Amino acid sequence: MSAGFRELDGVTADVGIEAWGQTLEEAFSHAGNALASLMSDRGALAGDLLLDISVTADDRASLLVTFLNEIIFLEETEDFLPLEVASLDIDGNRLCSTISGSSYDASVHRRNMEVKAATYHGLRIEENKTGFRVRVIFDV
Amino acid sequence: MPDITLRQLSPYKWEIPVGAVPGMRVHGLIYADEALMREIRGDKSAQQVANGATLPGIVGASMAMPDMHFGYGLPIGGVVATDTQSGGIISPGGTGYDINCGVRLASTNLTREDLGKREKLRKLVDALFSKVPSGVGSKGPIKLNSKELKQVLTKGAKWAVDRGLGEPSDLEHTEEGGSMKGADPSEVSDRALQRGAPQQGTLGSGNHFVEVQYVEEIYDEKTAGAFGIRPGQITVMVHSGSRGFGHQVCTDHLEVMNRAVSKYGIDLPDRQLACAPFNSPEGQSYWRAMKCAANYAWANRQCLMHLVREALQDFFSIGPTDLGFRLVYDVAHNIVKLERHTVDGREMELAVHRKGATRAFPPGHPDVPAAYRPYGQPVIIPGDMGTCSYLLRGTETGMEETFGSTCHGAGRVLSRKAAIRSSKGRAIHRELEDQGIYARAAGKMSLKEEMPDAYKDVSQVVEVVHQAGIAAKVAKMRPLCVVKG
Repeated sequence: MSAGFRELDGVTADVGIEAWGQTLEEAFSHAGNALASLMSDRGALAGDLLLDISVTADDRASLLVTFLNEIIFLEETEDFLPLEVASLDIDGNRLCSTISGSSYDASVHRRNMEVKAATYHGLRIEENKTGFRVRVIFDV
Repeated sequence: MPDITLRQLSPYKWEIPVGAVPGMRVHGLIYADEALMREIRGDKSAQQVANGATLPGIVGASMAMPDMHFGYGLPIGGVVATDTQSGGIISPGGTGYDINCGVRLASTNLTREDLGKREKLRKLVDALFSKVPSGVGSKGPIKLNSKELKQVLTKGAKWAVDRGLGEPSDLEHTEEGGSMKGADPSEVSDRALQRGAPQQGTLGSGNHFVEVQYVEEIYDEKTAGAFGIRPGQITVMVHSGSRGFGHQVCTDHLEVMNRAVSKYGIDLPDRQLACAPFNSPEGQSYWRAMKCAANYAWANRQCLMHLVREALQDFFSIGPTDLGFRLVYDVAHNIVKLERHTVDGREMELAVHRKGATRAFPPGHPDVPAAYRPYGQPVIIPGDMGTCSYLLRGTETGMEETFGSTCHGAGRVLSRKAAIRSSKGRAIHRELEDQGIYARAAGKMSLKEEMPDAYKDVSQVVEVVHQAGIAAKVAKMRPLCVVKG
């Protein structure tokens, strides 16, 4: 089964990802999973911890960036290593999501890279025949 | 999109004419030689220089230094100055997420002979690695309550020195004295405070490092002497920034600026360049918050340097007098500064954005520490961990052409992913050891991501700024021990 995301080539100093899905919610979820995959290899994560995110923004682009930045905020302040987006709903300018993951344990988990932020640079949200496709560049 | 038009003005200067992208208010100017320009043409960074030229209030030119590469908003290596008195903007994306990412250089009484054999270097890098908190999400021994954190934000490096983590003379040798005035913690979100509280005195990950080096070559004996640098001497370099605190300040204020853009009717080619007039409520709010992050970073490098000083004293079992540890200088390379410059014969107050660029003030400038003033401001240019780093000084030409700015490092050529791919099957730490360089990193991929091949040749970059006259070479240092995040 496809993971629903891939890392982009050719982004020199930062890391770009592309994620897709049949719905906007699915594409955003896969973008969240892509971010989780940058933070750790996810192999040793039990995913026993669930954290809720609720954000509002003025438009879709801002909603996606704010959602991803919230995951970065939780990773840093709660010592939370995300495994995947367990659920995600968008209602107008509000996004609610539950993220599964684990509390960081240095003896078990290996952190990968420090993601500083999701940026607006080159941000794309496109609708096509099969659904939605998004591109995000992270500052790392 | 067609390639951006580039017109060669001299062996080291290239112009992007107005009109290369719609809405350019001034021309673009790139400092590079032919070889570096071939690499620059490989990405879209020239387009980003042109985009920078569309920012309201920009004066002179939208500039890029020879270490430039593709970033977000402005390219890394970009310099943009705006006239604050006629609607000139301030842009968080034009500063970068790691506000006041910067580098400091300290000298010691130790010589290369004191560091001796390979076994000793290996032990020294282990000692430094265990002393300096590094890696993703690293937290340090310094725990700050909210009152102390706010002191860090207003006092910067002075907070650390007041706590005994350094000497008062360290502040004289730090850009802005290690603390920008007018930092206002009330402009900073609780989220930024939460990210910042546990991370003071930590290196972080990515390209941040602590390096023990030796002075291999002196180009300008008089200036080197004034800076306290001599051949064979052991030096220490620290590269870090404002950690999660600065990242959150940038994230928060980008959202504010996103709304300000439509309020002030600013037309932007890239949303990451979101900005507001410097003298607007949104602009002033970011300015006061940015200064908090800048101060956080100066305190951070001060704390990190103090840890290294202690580690060296312990390792060599010597006291402070014998070690002779002394800060040469500390420079910011991701920051906005309010400075006075002469443009077309008129003195103006400018908001100078340096994103992956270093301030390089000339001899005689009042902001250069008194002891260095006849020679110009020290400029510290870190290279990759397998090559070398440089100490330069600011020049008059730089003041006239680039608002007193020059390059900031080697500049990446390979993405982290490409670096990992091309280092497959190679033991980077072993390759470094073969050159007498001992490296340790917190992240398992860090050494591969940061391998020397991932960067431009720093000597080539420095040669361009030297030949173009926007900084002058003083000394070259070679790495011996490297601690990476």
